[in-house]
Amino acid sequence: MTLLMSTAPAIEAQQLGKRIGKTTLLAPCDLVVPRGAILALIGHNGAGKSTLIKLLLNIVQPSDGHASVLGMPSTSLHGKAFTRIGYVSENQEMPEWMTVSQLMSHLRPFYPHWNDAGLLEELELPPERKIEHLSRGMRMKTALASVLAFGPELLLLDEPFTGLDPAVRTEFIQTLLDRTHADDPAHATTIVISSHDLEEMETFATHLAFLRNGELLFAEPMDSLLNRCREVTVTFRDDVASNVSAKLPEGCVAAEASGAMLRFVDLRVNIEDHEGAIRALLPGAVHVQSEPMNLRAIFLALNRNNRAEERHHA
Amino acid sequence: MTQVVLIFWKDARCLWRHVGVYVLLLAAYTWAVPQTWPGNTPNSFLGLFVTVLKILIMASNFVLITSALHQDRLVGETQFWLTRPYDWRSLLGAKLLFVLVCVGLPYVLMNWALVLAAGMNPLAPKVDVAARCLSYVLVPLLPLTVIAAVTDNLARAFTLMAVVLVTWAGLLQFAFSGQDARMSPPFESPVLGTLFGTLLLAILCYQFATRRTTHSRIAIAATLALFLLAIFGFDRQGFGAPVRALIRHHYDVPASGSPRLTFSPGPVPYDERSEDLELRRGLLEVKLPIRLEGLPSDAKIRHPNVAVTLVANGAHVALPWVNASVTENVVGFTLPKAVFDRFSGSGTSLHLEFIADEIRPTTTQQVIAANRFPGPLHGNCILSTGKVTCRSAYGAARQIHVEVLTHPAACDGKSPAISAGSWHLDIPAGGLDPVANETLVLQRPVCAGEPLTFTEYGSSQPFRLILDIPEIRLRDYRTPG
Repeated sequence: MTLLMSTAPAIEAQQLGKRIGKTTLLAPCDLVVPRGAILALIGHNGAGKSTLIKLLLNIVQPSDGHASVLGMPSTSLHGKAFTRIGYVSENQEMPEWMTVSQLMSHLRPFYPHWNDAGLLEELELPPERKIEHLSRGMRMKTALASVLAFGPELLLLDEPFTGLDPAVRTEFIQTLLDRTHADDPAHATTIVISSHDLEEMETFATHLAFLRNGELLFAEPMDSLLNRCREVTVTFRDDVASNVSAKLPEGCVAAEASGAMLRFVDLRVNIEDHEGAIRALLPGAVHVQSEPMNLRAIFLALNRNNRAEERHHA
Repeated sequence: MTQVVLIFWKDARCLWRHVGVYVLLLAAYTWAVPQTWPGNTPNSFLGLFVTVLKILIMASNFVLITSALHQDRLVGETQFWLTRPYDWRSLLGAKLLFVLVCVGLPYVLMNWALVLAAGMNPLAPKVDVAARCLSYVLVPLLPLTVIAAVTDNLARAFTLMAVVLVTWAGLLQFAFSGQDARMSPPFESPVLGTLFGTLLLAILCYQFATRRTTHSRIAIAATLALFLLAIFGFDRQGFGAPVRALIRHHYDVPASGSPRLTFSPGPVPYDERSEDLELRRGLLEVKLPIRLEGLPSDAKIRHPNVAVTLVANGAHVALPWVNASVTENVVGFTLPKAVFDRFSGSGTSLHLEFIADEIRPTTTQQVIAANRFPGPLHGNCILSTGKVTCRSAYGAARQIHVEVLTHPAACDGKSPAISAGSWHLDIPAGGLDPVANETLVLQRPVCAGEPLTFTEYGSSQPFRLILDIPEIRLRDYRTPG
């Protein structure tokens, strides 16, 4: 899957995949993430989001393909490379015995640039409290503070919002965006973030990649995705909806027919007069309504369609 | 270097309680052990206490090293440091620094304190100090560090260590039972120590550089197998010809023709026929009337070994090098019973190669027996109820022959100086206590004020002698039993 590129990409993966024995954790996939993009990795638990991030960070080694991260081969990432790359994960172990300020003091000398001025106050973190005594939200904010302080060019966040209450989540995102934003996208921090929180992701992600059962189904700019996905409701004169639903072309998914009403999601909208096109496709239609969808609706429709396909194949 | 210090400092701050407990254990050991040395009132409780302390110190070593390594463990995918700019060399350096400073240094200081408590200068035998420190690094510090590097928690590290130890001990027992009398070739310790140390260090570097734990674990198993093979092939001469060649190369035949072996056919003197009662099943001892002649009058020999080739009726057997016993008129050695049965009759010719180290006096020291007085090997001796116990430090890596002449005139004012006996100081290396106490087994009690002469033998000169006996009937020389 290829995203539109403005400059040299921050991440470029070719046929990158991971297998353990006969189990495929991530099928070989292509992915290009432009610099300055905020890529939302969407998918169920076990879809391969964490595996993809770990492959990009050289935490695990690929079974197939290769990737370059900030121009460096992913398999060579270690030591100094991580002065440019930050990583926060819900599962990341922390030095529990340290206080928040001890952690920041310990890490400071490892980086050429370090700016934590006001960061702990901004995230409302208690400097003298040990990490083992922090709540889940505070731990995630501590981890975020420890990567924002060195101004990474690339930031990978693996399920950072899991278990956070809405207030903390908002605070987390706000600080993240404030500290990584730049007017010139080429100088902004590239962010890859995996999450289930679709509403939140829709508000700030610029790109989206969707994984299912270890396969990367698509990756593209958020605008493009939202534009091309429409929820279509068609009303016929007679009870023919179920007959018509079986004849829908490829790209029209998650069809539900009830009497004279047919509802489906069109994933390939690329014309301005969409309703007119539907009327042309379905001559018996009395009324056609084509409405934009939010990310959550698209995600649910895709999942419904995937489950249906799986049942069909079974 | 900055990273090394930062990571070391982090670990030291985190594990200061562990280090504190370890230091306290060493302090308790330093206090308790001198009270168990000869010359003090025996106390069974104290002996038990010291035994418990030894176990706790070993356990503490294990826990400290494992905890330090697991602070930034190499196994797993969720560690904090994996995505931080830690250089693996710095990480390895920091962990080794921690092991040396927080585990090794207190151990060295404990050694010094005990040596001081024994009334000796802890830095006097510099070679022995270095050898003891090196052996402590090789075992146990390096193996424990490697085990910690390929595990992710204390329980797994303990399990792996237990598996390695049990497997290792079992294989050694299985492979080498019944071969105790075989000699160890020259350079054995340096060769095996270098091999073992280099391989473990290489595994450690590989694991830190790549974190490929499965590969590293396989490498550990391969190292153990290789070490076992090296012991079997090298130490136990399983490799045959190359090891024999090395032994012959190290032990030259003297060009002067002296010393030499002389075979005197006839019965072995009665008082030299004593049997080695600790022979293993399948072995028996033969004592031949062979004299070692031509040694300088003040020289002695140590580490005598023989290799025997027997030929009879077209049959030919070349036996490996085995330890030999040498008395005034007799050279004794062991044979497999099957070989003896085959060649015990008449018509057997025997080719014997004999090797040993010739040692000469290096230091002679005359002292006056007292409650405490200077002893050999930079040590000191104590006199208690007529028995002399000599102390030396660090378990001498070299063996030194010590001879004592007593002058009983000091006791009764009449008797001339006589030899009170001589013995071989073969102080076992290793163990936690660096002070070796050796009670001299003399022929009579020693009085306070009696002059004693210690002669240290050293300056080892290896030599090899060859003796061919065209016809011998071995059954005439089998020790009784």
